Amino acid sequence: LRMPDAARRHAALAERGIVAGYVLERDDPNLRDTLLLATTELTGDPDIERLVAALEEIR
Amino acid sequence: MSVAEAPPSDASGRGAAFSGATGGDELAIVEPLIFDRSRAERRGVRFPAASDLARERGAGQPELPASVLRQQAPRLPEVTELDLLRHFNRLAHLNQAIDLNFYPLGSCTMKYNPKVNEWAARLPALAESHPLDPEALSQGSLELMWLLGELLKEISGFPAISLQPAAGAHGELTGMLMTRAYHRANGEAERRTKVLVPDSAHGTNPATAAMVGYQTVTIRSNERGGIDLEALRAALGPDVAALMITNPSTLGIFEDQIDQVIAAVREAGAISYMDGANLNAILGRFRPGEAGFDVMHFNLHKTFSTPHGGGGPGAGPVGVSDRLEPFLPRPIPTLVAGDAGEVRANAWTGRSTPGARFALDDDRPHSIGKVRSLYGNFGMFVRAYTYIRSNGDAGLRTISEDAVLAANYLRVKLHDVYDLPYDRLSKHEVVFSGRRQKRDHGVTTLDIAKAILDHGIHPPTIYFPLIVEEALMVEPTETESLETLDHFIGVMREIAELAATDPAAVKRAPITTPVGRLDEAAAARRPDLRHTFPGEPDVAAPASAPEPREAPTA
Repeated sequence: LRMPDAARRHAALAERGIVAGYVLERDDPNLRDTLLLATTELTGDPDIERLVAALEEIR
Repeated sequence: MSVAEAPPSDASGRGAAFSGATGGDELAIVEPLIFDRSRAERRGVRFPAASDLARERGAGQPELPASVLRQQAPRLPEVTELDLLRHFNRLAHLNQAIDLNFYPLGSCTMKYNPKVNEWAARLPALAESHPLDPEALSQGSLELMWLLGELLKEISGFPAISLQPAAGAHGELTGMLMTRAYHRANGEAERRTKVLVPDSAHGTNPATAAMVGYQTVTIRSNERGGIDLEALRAALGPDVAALMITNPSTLGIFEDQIDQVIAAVREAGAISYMDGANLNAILGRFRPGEAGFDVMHFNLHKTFSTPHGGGGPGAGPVGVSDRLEPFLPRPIPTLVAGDAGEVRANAWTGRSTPGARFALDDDRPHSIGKVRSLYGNFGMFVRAYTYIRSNGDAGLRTISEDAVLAANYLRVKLHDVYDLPYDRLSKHEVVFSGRRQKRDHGVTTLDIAKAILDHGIHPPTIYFPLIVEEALMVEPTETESLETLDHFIGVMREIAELAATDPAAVKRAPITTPVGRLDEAAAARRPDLRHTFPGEPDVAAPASAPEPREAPTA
């Protein structure tokens, strides 16, 4: 997912107990503002909805 | 008949073992491959279908390109969870294992791994933590790594440590890379090209030195099994980078001139490396860092009871002196806010310390870099930490006391039937020689080891150390009862007796194990690990098998 201020949002989500994947610019400066996210069969709909809502809230 | 060609078991469902105990060449298998248990559409786990929400949100999103989609499903075995569980439990019970048998495999410290370690490692907060979690959400894991480092420093007397290396020989490699970095920083790397290794060291020591580009020079043992000090002094000079010493040695003997050895090495400007694989013998009694060693690796999977065998994972942290500290691998779990004493005291009572904060220190300009992805084998850290905490100071001292007592008990009880090339007080292990049985009856140490298997005991290490003819290297560890030790003594005496009265019977052994004597070289170097489905060509088979390369020293 590309979004403005991905690293800051990632940190803010961590404060809320959500690990929003991995901030790719840590490893590659060309991948700024990119989060690497993965879901599995163990990730329920409520978790995904919570992540989406939190991302929309943090601007 | 190869394993792959073996027929499936009879339909009784009883097929729990190999039935090749004929001592002959033929090998019949009664526990079939998991592929042979496979039935179409049988499942252990059924994955849920995508939820309506996922379908709704995913509609219209780009799909993966056809070029990366596989055309055919993988041919995995199709079995129920119960089929799978039984299959692997049966296979597991065909092995000699510490949870099933006495396992006095010298140099490996096959002690019992307490199950409380497994409980701790499976605590969800630890087991489900992710190594890439943000530091703010990983404080507990970082604290555990920091605490383990503090404990290992205290146990060994070294002022600094890295937990990163994945195993003992990996710790050696880390130590030698730091040695090279140290000499390089002093502008002496060009001329210091040699590493001295006593002939009673672990085989990995010279191999490690060679991997880092050093020329190894063997230092002979004296008649008491210690380092020949004169030979050491003669070999030391401005071209020597390090001494690598296994202490106690592979003879199970503590180097009683250790002070002179370390002083001589330091005087020559070289680094003194101690292989700490045999730390079990000296826990709570000798601190190598305090004695003046510059670097030592621990084997958490030996001394601190994290499970091993079957290829790991192990853990080989390295402790270092102040002069090697700048070169430690990075990052290092560090306490960045809070009082170390307070954090430790709180941890001892099961509490975290308010305000304490841990971080990974990656700002280490002289570091040799990373030697392992992430931070090392974290699950092993949890187990080792649990082991140390559950034993405490007094417990760790009892461990070394009991380990040494058990080895010496075997030495005294068996030295009249098996030769003892170095007949002196041993540490955690004792090295016998089967040379008398070979000379008088033609029964070799290999034959004796095979006969031990018939008694449900894993054999000792054999033909090592190399300086002992027909070596039998026995390490009972502290976790075995007196009854088990006495049983082993009985078995060893019985085999010595049998070697004298019916040597052919010893040479036929083992006869009670699932398989008899194998072509061990072929099994190790030309294993056939492919499964071919009935009626299908063996597509993976190369036109002609490449000649295997020489196996490296284990």
